[in-house]
Amino acid sequence: MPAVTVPSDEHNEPERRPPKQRRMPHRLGRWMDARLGTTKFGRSALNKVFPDHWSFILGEVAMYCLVVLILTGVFLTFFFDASTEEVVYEGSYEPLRGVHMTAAYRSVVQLSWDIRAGLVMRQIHHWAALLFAATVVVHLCRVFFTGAFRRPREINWIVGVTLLVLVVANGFTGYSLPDDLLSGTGLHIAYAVILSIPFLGPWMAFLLFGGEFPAEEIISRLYVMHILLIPASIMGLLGAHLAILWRQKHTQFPGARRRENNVVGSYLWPSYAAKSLGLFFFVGAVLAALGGLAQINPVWLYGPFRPDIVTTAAQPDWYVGWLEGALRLFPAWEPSAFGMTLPNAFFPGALLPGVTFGLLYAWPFVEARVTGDRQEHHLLDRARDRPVRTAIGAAVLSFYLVLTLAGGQDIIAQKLNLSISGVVWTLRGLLVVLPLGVALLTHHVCKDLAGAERLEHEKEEAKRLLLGGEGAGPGHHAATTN
Amino acid sequence: MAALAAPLLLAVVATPALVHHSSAEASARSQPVPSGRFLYLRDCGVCHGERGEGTPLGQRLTHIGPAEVDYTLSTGRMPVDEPGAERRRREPRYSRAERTAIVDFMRPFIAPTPDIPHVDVAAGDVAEGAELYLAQCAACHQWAGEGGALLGDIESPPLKDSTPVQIAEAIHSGPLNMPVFVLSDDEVNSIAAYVLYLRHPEDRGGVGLWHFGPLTEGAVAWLFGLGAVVMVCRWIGTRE
Repeated sequence: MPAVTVPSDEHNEPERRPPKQRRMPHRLGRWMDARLGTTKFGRSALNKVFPDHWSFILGEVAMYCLVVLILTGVFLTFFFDASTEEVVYEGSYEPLRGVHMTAAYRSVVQLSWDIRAGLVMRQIHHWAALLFAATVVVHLCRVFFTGAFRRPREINWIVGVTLLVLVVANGFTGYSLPDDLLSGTGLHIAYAVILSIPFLGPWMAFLLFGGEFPAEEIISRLYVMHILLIPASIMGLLGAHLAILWRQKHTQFPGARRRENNVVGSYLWPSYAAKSLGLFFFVGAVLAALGGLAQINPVWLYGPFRPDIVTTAAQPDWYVGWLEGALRLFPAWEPSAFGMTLPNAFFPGALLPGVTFGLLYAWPFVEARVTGDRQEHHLLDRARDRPVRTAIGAAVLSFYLVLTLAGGQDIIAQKLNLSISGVVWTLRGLLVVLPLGVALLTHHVCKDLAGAERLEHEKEEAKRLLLGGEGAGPGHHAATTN
Repeated sequence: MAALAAPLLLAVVATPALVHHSSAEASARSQPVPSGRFLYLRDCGVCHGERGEGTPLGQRLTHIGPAEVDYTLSTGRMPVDEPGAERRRREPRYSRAERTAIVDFMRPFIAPTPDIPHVDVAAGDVAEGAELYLAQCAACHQWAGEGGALLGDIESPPLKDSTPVQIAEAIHSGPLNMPVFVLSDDEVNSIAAYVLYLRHPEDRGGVGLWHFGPLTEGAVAWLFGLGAVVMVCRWIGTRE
């Protein structure tokens, strides 16, 4: 139970010889404080209050996934060879011995078979990437459904959406590095999608790939993006994300003693820090368990990439799966006008992500305009109290869920013993019908829940009036700051 | 016409009883093998004609070779329970000796090639097989031999139960929707070696997740990874 710490003015007191020699950390602290004024900041930082609601911890999980990604990623850089030079594999995995491949692919197979702890590090890294993207999405959902993006937090929403884009981009570049059959196929699709962009496409594709696919430089360029450019941007923006959060303070759900101008929760030190450290270890444990127990991306079975080879059951990682699904579901439509053809891949491959992220960026402003609500909000909405927003959010999620499933439409058809065209048409239908149904249902459920609650509240109110209640409930243990 | 229809009708009517009888026969291996002629006329000729010339119920067989006949019978795809039924892999109806007898009876009226091949898996090179498999087979049969659903509602079967001879027969004869592949005996040996390897590949790194690919990995990350994390978040956080 965190007591309220009263700031003492110890360091402002007149100089007084301590009776005993102070310990080293204390002296170092004073030395630092004299030069940087760290004590005051440190005290206010340690007394920072964090809300205790579980959904606020999801963003933190994402951050710890990033830590695990960096730790394992650094290990991987010691052994990965970002080169498309053709080599012959002579390692210990027999079915590939004597096979011609790129140095990049060889180094990943070697990492998996001949380097101690190489495979488990690779697997933890990959699982961490999948979980990272998942927690970022869930965190975004929490912020969306509770209205935490409203004024004054629009900037942090924009930073957050940018982080999501970067996380997906870094996942895709990482998935493409091993130069195995699936990653090469993914790159091939990405190349085609970039080419499909009107006017700019060919220029952009050549700028990125350094020539026609499969260009020799692509692996080394992706490598620089994957381990330097994008991670540096992620960390910079994460810093900004947290700094803005710090400056603006947390939002919180409405409740006892919670007002627009305070934050109820635990102090950073010691209770929140201890919880958070425990969470970090737990995230690490989950990822280590997945990395050690569940195989991910067995590149030695996929084989080296060759532009003339494809395989069935080829999908990207889940965070790109919705784009793959869109490509698979989009009808074979190529409009022509003014002697130009807009390639089919443009709509699902380039336009859809453009619209998706564009709408995400614009949402806080669109909502403010529609509702006319431009007030500052520090108390959160409950999803049921904003049925329209909640319905839209749920509908959009169902839309992308259908697209993601469509990314594996061949697996669904095969395992459920259905015809693939039947599955495709069903998914196309679902893509239109499901979001509508989900929206109506969600709206209905929200209204019902809110109505039931109002009724409950009125009943209690009436009971209190009739019995002449004593209002005080049990004391709430929590710290508050203004 | 009536002369043809009468025995045909008789055979169709009699088939269920015979099916029962012959499966009991297959289990009792000590019994003498019935002649290929008897088996062919009883189970195949009804639809495919007395000399493989085809009838409205079944296709002509005179252009296919012994390899395809043997493949179709040994994988249980023929005989089907009724004309027009989908040909799926199942427990074969005939013993090896019965199959040989049927093929030998058919030889005079079907194509001479491709003949039932001889496969020497031990002489195959797994690495060469892997390269050939990924280049030639994986496009339909999937990188781990799990098979797949293809456009045009064609199903490509998994290869987990394929014997080396069946693999070679399929490569040479291209049964059902499969194209014919022109490969040397050494190459076929190597592919067979790799397909056998794929039954139990050296699956490092834990549970293989059925070799469905990244879609399953994503599902595991969400259900197990995120599931565990959310449970802990709810444990250490408040829920009001």
